[in-house]
Amino acid sequence: MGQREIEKRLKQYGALSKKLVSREKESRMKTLLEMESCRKGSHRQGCHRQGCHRQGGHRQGCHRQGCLGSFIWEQVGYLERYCLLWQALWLAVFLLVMKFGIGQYDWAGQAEGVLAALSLLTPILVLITARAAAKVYQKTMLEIEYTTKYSLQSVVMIRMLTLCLIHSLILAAGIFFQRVQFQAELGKVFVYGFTPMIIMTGILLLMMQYWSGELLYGGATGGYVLMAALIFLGCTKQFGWYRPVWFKTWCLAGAAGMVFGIWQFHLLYKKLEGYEKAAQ
Amino acid sequence: MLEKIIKKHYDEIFRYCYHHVNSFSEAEDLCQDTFLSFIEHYGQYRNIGKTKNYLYTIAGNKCKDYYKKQRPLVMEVVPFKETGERIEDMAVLKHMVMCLPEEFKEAVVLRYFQNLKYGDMAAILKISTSLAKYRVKKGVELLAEMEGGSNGTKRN
Repeated sequence: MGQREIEKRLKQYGALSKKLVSREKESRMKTLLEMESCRKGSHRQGCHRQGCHRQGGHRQGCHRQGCLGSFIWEQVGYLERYCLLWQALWLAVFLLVMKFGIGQYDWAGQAEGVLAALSLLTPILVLITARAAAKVYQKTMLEIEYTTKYSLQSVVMIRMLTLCLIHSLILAAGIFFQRVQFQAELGKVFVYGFTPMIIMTGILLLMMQYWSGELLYGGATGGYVLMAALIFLGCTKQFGWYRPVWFKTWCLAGAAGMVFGIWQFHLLYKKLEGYEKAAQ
Repeated sequence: MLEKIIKKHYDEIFRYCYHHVNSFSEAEDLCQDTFLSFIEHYGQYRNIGKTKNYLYTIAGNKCKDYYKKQRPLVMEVVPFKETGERIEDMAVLKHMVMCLPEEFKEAVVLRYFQNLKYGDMAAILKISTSLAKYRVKKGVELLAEMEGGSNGTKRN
């Protein structure tokens, strides 16, 4: 018998086994729920919550442990190690690009080429953490979040804020501590670096309201590819977005991106709040 | 909310336990122990995944503890009498799966009996998705070898 036949029979068995049901299901479930009620009652009598921060009224079944600081620290701990490693590698590449430039590529002048490379590099930071962000927010997490310690809102927001903060610190450190070889001023480097990253972050927050998991990560990748294409276009003579005359437009785009990002953050927060209310 | 979680996942966890121990009564006990552990420890659960995967992890550990106590496997008759299926073939297949090495057995049970996605399997078993796929594939290969070996023995 071949492997295909084995697989077929395994699937048949799996389909048949769906009919297997515990004979004492109802009574056992009732026992479990009674035990949970007893446990909650004894917990409330002996519970001393110190420094707990709560949103809204009393939430049944939610056990808050420790203060806000320990909660934040715990959420920071969920950042995956590989994510931090990629960010460290990104910083190394970033410093190399800034130090040596990309003189071999004639993108309408070396200064503009470096700025374009900066614009290309910064959204990669968002892409690196898109997979981690996709795992942060899954609808199926709502169940366990609600029955455990913290609200889904708190968890997602703290993790996203942590990621944003780390990115900002990495980028700021890279820019401020690295000598810029060309005539571009530090402020311009800041604008050309942060603007694509801010816009990419806003797009990611928008997608998080509708997608999760692999779909979200795919969307983030697609968003980055689109942004990279626009940046390449900006380096061509026809568009020339890195010429000084366009600097004010970049500043406006950065400001608009910031507003867009904050607005999407707010909408995501409200959406998570809606999920929790629906679950109640 | 806890009631919803239990109602939603009880049957699935029960079936998972049954596939490991092949006894209704033992599976019911293991399933009950799983949910008891869940209730006791969900306050300490670090929210990094799906509820279902967490329950599977607990159930898997309970089954491992069961094996460690070296309780004899009881082969109950597969309760599919009303379907008219080839009961013996199903029982033989089940026995073959139980004879697989632990890692491949677990992969085959989760994939084919529990119908889980590779991503969920990887999360439960704490391995990569590609390793989960490999274990499933290897498990099926081993089953085919076992089947071929038993057929050869019958001919002889």
